[in-house]
Amino acid sequence: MNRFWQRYIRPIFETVQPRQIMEIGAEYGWNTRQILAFCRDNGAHADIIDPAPLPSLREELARFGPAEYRFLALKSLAAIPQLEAPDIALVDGDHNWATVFSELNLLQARAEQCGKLPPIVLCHDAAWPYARRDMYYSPDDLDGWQRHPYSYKGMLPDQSELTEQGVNGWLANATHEGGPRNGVLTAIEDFIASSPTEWSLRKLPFFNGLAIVVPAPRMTPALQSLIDGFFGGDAMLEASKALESDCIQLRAMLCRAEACLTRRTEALERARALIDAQQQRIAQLENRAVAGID
Amino acid sequence: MMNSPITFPSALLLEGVVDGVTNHTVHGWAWFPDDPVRAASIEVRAHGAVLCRGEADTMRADLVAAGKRNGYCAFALRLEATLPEPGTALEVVAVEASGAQPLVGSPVVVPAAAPAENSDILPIPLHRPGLHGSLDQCGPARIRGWLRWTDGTQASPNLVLREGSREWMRFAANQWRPDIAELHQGDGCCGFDQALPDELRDDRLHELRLCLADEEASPLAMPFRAMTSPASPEKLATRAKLPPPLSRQVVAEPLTLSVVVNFYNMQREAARTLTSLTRAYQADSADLDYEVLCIDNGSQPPLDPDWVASFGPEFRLVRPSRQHASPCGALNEAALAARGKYLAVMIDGAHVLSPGIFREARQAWREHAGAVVAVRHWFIGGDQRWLTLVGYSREQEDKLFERIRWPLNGYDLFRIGTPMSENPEPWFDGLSESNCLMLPTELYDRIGGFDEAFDQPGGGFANLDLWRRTCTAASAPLVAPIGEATFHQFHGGTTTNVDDVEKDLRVRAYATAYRTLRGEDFAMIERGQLTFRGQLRSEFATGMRQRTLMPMRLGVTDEVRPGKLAAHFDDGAQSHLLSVYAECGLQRDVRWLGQPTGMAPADLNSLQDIIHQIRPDAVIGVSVERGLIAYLDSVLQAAGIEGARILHVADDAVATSARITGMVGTPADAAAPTAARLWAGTAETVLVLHAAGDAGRFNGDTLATWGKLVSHRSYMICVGTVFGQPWLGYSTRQHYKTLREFTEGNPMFVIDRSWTRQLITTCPYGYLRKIGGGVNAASYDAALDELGTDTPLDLENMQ
Repeated sequence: MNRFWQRYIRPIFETVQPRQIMEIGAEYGWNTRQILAFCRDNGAHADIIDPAPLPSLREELARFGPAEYRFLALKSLAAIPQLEAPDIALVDGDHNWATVFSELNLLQARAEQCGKLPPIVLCHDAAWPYARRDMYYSPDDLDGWQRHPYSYKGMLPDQSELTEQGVNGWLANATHEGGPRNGVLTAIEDFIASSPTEWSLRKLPFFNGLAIVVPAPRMTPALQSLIDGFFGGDAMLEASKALESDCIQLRAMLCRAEACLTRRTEALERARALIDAQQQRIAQLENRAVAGID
Repeated sequence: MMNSPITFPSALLLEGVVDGVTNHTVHGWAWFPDDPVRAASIEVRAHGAVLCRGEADTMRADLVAAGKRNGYCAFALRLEATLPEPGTALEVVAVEASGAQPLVGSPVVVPAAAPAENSDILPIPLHRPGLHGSLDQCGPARIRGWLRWTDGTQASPNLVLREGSREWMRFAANQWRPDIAELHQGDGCCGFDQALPDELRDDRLHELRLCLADEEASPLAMPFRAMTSPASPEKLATRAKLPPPLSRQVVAEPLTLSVVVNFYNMQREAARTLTSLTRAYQADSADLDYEVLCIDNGSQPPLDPDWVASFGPEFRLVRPSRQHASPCGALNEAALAARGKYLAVMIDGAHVLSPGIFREARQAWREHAGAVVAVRHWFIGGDQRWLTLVGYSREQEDKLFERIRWPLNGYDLFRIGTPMSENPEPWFDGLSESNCLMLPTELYDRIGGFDEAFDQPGGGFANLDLWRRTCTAASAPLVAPIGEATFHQFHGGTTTNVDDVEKDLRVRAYATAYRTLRGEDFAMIERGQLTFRGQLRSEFATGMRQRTLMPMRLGVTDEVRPGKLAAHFDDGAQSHLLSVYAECGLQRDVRWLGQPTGMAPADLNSLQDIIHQIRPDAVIGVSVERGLIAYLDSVLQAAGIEGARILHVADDAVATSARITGMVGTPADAAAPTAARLWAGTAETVLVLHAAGDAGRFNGDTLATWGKLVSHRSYMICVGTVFGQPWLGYSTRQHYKTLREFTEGNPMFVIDRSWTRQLITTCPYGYLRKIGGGVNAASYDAALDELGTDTPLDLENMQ
């Protein structure tokens, strides 16, 4: 989500000027750092929710104080009902239908309870691979009916079946893509379809996708113009540059990996030659011993 | 307030957070990941003085889930002295021999006056000597948490929720909580989850105390504040306008029963529905004075009044004076024209009745004149939401009716029907609605009948709302007949004849409309509020959702609906099945080439699938059965994995084929893993099978030792982790705990439950996949490219 900050999230923050922000899922804290800097500069306050804070998040939080944030080591579904309704919520927690759908409903219900408008929601992972496929950080924490069959295998584009050769094989991914109640984007669409509020949904389809979900009562001409601008030619050109930069970085990593693999292969070839030579030597010595030769 | 990062001399990594200061108490959690045995000592300081100190050793359920010291690292330190001035910075540190480290969020500022408008952030640890637990939630509608004795006391703690001197409720912490059960291996009956009393639910902030009932002591240092939401009808009425009572003219010629049934574009279905309402069809109704008011709510072509009247003198057509997409207004109008002392309202005229409904209702009214009778509904054919996608049609349904020669025996409807309820005991489930709701007319009028504010096509949740309000207002029993039902015929209904996705979208929209009107989510009437009466007059009425409809192929479709395993067979049921399987020792009968394998057939299938997927070139079996080694040998051969080898480490290991190497030893032998490592050599993909035995042979140490041999993205399969009935308390095998602790301490491994979906497994939680430990460019160790020998190999004598 951090990669959306500069060109997309920050301009939205500057246009909306939220007083209360909620971040669900902070991971390394890279996005949190930007949010809290905004809070410090603008007098806003953020609730940061992450049940398993990483050390780097702790370091980021230590740069700020209670004036800017409150941290809750809770799951979002437990935390949202207890917190002040936000003006903007950044959702990047557990990437599955049940969780995202519940988060959005809880955010709306909390806003109603507090007499506020539903929040603007910026939801990460609204494109491949988790737009139409669930992922479970902790599958056993969900009831059986809330999760699809899953496996710790990777994913490839345009292939529903999981594969060992795909990406994110270290996560519990739903074994099939698409269909009802599957994926982050599906949850957002289902929520909007069943909400009494009118919502605008726009999707930036790169960097795993960012859904910009704005309730009609919070949409202003300035915000509408800003979001429309994200999809204009100039903005898309900038996005292309960012994607190309990302692609180059990945190619560089691939080159490094291939170099490492080559060196390791060469080393293994030398190891095999050594083992073969030693086995031959052992056989010779054994033969000599059998033959009684010194 | 800035927190500057500080470097401390401490060698121990600290992880912890200050959650905040509420009610004189500093809340948070802390632990040392490198030394989890030690509880962190916490001090709260201000202006250099220590205000209070304590251990971070209280359990909190959310910290369990987050993997922090098994949850035992929360603290709630009370500032015993006068609370420091607002604005005072409180430094919260973890103290150890080499210094003090601040927690994230420290210093925390003492708030200005107590923020009366805010509720406290839960969970709050519950703690006092001999007791610990957690208050997880209080409000808006329920109070949840758990509390257990740590001193071996067997009785459940009894709790009282107080506000000042007023006692709001009493309850015992004795409900089963699976998360606590996991932690305590079969224990876990220490939870509480109670609805807050209606009087407490007034949309206000309350300062509450949770006390022990017997001694009035509190496991909470201070009261806590919680916000509730309104619940009672009186309170709701202020937020949600309920329909006014209906005003009825004096009836000239009263009857016992008026049936009001609504039709819209369903003449085919109406024919059967009306037939099922005739005196000839309804059993024991010869002496019943009743009428049937048939609403045609704008059908095209319209229903013919003569055709309606042809069903009998009791039948007449009613055309509403106003036509709306929602039938609520038309139903109320017809109900006001009814002459019956009792009303039977059917919002969906596609429901055909079983023959004993009038009889059961009359019997209920004889026993209690004010009884409300709610008939359950079934599908004709099967789940029509699915069948409609795969070719089910009205013509197919007609064939079903022909096959039972309906209406010859009305109870044969159960032969071609399935209950809409997914509950395995459909007759005893709670009720969300009834499509034949029979109630005193006076009651219908008093509650205002259908609420015409439900203006969606079909009425949305109007029928559910009517049922709920009826239950709230009724002072007599709510009777759910057993063995009688209405059967929904296939037609273009709003939710019953559309696919799952479309149905879900509509239902959610209806639910939202209900919430808007009533100020709360719809809740079904639970079975405890119902009275059951009747008898099963058809052996097919005992059916469940997935029962085969008839012993004949209907030719509807060749497709099979993807079932939702969890909806029909949950984890608890699977545990029971596994325990039965294990206690009967059926796995001992699973043999390969005449030798026991010690695994269930589904596990053998999973094992061959894993071998097919990862294609191991080395498999190590630790203490597993010889039959399993033979099976591995066969699978490797069948898979054509050239050069694949097997190492069998066991007390009785022998090499029975060229592929197998036997090594006599036990999992705990220090030398065995070293020898196995040498044996594995340069194999790229190593698969390990580790038999679960007693604690001496299967524990965290053996798992860690043998786990080191597992290749990246390969598996360690723990064979035989199934156990008997832990709830009886005699099981000493705590494999799940062992595995869970192992994966928590070794995040490179996860429990992959996708291999145990076939329900019967002898390795529950035993498929451990190594997903971590991958090497990338950043972590690549180039030194490994050198083979580590500066001494040239002595090859001078090579020939």
